Amino acid sequence: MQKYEKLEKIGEGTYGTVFKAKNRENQEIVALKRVRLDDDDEGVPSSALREICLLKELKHHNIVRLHDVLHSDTKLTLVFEHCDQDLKKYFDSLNGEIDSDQVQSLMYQLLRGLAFCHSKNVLHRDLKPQNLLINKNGELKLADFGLARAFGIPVRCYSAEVVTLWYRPPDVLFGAKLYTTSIDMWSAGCIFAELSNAGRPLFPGSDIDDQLKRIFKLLGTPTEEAWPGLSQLPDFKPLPMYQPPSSFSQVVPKMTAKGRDLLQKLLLCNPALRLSADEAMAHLYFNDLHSSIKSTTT
Amino acid sequence: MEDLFCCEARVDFECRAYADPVLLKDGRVLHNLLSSEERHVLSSSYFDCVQSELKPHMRKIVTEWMLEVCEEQQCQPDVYWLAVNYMDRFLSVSPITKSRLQLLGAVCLFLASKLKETSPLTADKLVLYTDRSINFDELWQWELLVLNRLKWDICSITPHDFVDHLMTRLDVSNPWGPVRRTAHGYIALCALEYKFAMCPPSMIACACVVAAIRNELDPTMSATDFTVNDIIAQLQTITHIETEILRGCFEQVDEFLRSLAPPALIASCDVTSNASLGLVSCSTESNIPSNLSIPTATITKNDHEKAGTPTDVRDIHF
Repeated sequence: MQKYEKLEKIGEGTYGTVFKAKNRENQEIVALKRVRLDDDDEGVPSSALREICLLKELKHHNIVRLHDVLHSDTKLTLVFEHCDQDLKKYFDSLNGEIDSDQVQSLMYQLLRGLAFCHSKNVLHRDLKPQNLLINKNGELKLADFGLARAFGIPVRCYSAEVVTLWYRPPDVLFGAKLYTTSIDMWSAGCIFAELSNAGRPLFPGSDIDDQLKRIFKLLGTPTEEAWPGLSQLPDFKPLPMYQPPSSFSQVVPKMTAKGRDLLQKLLLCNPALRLSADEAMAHLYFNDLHSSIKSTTT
Repeated sequence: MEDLFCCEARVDFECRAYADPVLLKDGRVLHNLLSSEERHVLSSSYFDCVQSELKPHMRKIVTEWMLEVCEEQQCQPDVYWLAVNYMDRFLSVSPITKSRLQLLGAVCLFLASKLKETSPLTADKLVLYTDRSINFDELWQWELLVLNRLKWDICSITPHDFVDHLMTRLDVSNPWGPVRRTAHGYIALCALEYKFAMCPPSMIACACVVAAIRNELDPTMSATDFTVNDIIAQLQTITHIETEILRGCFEQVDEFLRSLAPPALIASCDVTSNASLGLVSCSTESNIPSNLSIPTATITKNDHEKAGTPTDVRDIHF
């Protein structure tokens, strides 16, 4: 580990400690994610394997760059590009105020990163503010692909290890195990609203029931007509029939009408109807997006 | 919040994702698959220039053993192809002795299964399947060695990745029916044959899809029949691979699949050749899998055929 000088501990990732460090050769600041190998009798953890090989394929401006992988017999070190903060810390620094251009820019970058993942056959499946990194140029990068997987062939899906509750779509909360790109689009919708409200989570549920009720109070309880197959989902249970409010203006007061329209099309309970990342990027809401953001090359 | 996860009942069955229109209808996904598939394909034969001790029949034995493990453990179909791909790529950069070949095969299965499966093959099981001819320390060491040699590029594109894309775009009746399952099964069998490791995965996928459709309609249909020509022409439009190349690959795959029909399969993995390599077969009753069922990735769990040894390739249900 002579090549890198450890500077400080940044945090604990899903499978190891993360340090800020400096490359002694070129002074570049990087993030080191350390994975211990000796306490796992199954060798290299599958989450680390997936993250490494997926990130090697996903070279894009809006996806965190994996520079290198170093290993010894006892540990594995992933060398990532360093970003100053994650979206959650960024929210904390805002004091409840965020510029609407900034919301638009961050949302567009999130969608562009997702569109790239999806075009490469990769689902993220664990989108949340803690997994979105922001560097000092305001660039947003998707990180933490430990739950993601390439899925060229229909994939098996996980039961327990998916998506933080607050960003889970209703189909997953009802036990749907058939995850598709729509799972990331719901999470993106939740994050869009949270961005607009400068960090106030949209659906901060305390358990699965509470999570579903919060969703349906805002969107109306879905019916079998609007969402065929709903009642066949493994964990489906009838919930009170909430009537949706007439508009989202109370929920995201700072958002423009176009923004609310996009939000509504992402937050659709029926996963088959949710916009794809590409469709969302083409939405009118982004018509006046600054060309410097739109044109950023990959 | 983490606590909540513990309350969820663990499901015993594993379900698989259904066909996602966002991925299947978007031409870019297929385009990306086609443009990046070549990176993990062998460019030349390692038996000629890298390996001195290894011979093609040894590869055949170890790939048959790997297939048996995958069948017995009901692995996802692409796990087997991926593992064989890792092994071939490793062998094309690192010479090894034949006594290490089964260890390499086991490590490759270990990696592919961890990458793709929710409940991967355990080290314990793999060691047992080799009849303890490898140990845990070797498995760990070689895992890192293989990852290093492959530069951690283990998300190889496999022919399995193309099947749904092809079936969605082909004008055939019932694209999600038995043809799809059969194609996945044929692809797995193609991994047994070394020469197919040098073909782009999309070509193997096309050839296996043509073979599956033809055998489903009428196995005696000639390779130049109008229907076969029509499917090949459609596949040319979809993949932009030249018709003659597609046809050539289909004919080779077809010939190979026919050659596998027992008793050829039985003869190919006889005990003497296994013994000479120091390999131990995992199956106690026979060296041939009695049931060549590769679990296919569909929403419903398929009832695996419990029939005895199939008498013809076209009778094998995958």
